[in-house]
Amino acid sequence: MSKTIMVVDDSGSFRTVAKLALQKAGYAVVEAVDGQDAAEKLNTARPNLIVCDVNMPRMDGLSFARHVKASPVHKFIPMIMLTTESQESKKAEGKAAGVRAWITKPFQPSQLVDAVARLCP
Amino acid sequence: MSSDMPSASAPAGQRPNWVDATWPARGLAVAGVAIGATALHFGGLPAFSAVLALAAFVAWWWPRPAARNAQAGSEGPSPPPAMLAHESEIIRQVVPVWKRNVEAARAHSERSMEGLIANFASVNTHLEQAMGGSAGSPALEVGAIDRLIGNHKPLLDDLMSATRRSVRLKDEMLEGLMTIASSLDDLVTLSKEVQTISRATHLLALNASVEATRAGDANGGFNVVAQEVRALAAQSRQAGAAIGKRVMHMQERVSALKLHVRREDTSQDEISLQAEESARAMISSVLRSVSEVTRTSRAIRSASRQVQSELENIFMGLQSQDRLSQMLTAVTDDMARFDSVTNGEPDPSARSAREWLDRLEASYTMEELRSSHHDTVAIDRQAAVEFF
Repeated sequence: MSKTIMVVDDSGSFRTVAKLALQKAGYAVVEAVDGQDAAEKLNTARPNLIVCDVNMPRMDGLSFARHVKASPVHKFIPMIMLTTESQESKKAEGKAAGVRAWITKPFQPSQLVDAVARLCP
Repeated sequence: MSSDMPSASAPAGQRPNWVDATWPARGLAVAGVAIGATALHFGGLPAFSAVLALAAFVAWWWPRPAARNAQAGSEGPSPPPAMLAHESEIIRQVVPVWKRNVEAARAHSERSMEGLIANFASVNTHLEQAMGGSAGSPALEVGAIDRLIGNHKPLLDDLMSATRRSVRLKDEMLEGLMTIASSLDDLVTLSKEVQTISRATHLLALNASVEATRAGDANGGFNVVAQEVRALAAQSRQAGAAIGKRVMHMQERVSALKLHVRREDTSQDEISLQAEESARAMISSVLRSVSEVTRTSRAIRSASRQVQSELENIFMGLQSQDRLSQMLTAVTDDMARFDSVTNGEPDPSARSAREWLDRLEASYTMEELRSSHHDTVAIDRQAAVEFF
């Protein structure tokens, strides 16, 4: 049974690129348009890993990361932030929130797949 | 730039003095130029970026008469308040339109890019399917033909057994023909003997007839018998001749058949050799075709891999839409804020140009925007993965 990756981004084009790369690598993909949507979908979906943007409407990625890590059910799901943000302060914030990897956009689809495979073997 | 900035400030919650407040437009101009330049740097939507940069320039340029007047005010008379109110009114009405236009362009760009990505994704999927279909093509090595023939020798033997049976049958037929020919020779000899006997009988009967005539009427009966024997001898000779003729005809046919069969005569070994050579030639031909198909398939797979690699680069390039969208959002958010300020909404950052620009910079989500904001060297950053 293939592992499921949740892709959270308000950009439809980005979600398509990420989904294409992950599906090609054999993963199933669940999409969410922002942190709040992702939090709601976590009630039904059981992803093995979450790939998340930082800057999104309603609930941003770092808030969503804190939300996930605060949940006893979901706190062990590894998270990768995939964002245009490259500020060290933001990365530190992500690390403190429990994020496992930080990928700066634009990214090569193979980089994302490699990172996912490393954190979700 | 800061030397051109007005130093006047308004307390938070108060509408700013627009005579001194050309800086919000300048802030907008900085953002606009930054976005336009950065978008051009990424190579995305150059025409739109140029328009945006032009709009930002207008925003920068437009309030300058007021600023000059304001600066001149320190040396001479202040500009008429009616004119300032007029400019403020234009700003209040124009900035929301700019904002809507930029947002429309951003939405249009996003829709177009999503469509483009969907199309490329479809191309990628079709390529993968094609590559998956050709992945099973066999690879032929040196000696593959010999090995294949060796592996399939039992099948070849089965194929040849029917031929061998046919050859045996032909040999039996030839042997039968030889026997028939020999029998026919005997029959010819016998028919000749029959004719010889009939001739002798005819001569004997003739002599008997002559003797009967000489003996006179007393032996008339014997003469009749002699005549009957002559007639029988004649019939016997005719029958022998007819038999001989037919047998000779049969001999000719059998000889022709024997000649034909001998002409086509081929040994078992020759047949095996010929069959193997034919099979080898046929398999070689098939394998050459398979090899050609394999070579073509490999070339297609190689080309497909190159196309997929290019598609990865395209996907990477198409992510500029996301970045462009964030840049435009930074501008439209600032436009909205500027619009609120022009309508008298309180804004703490409207106290000074520095505070406005600092707040604007803090809203940026990308390093490129910060670099452009400060007009520093553009960063050609490579994608990076950092594990914590």
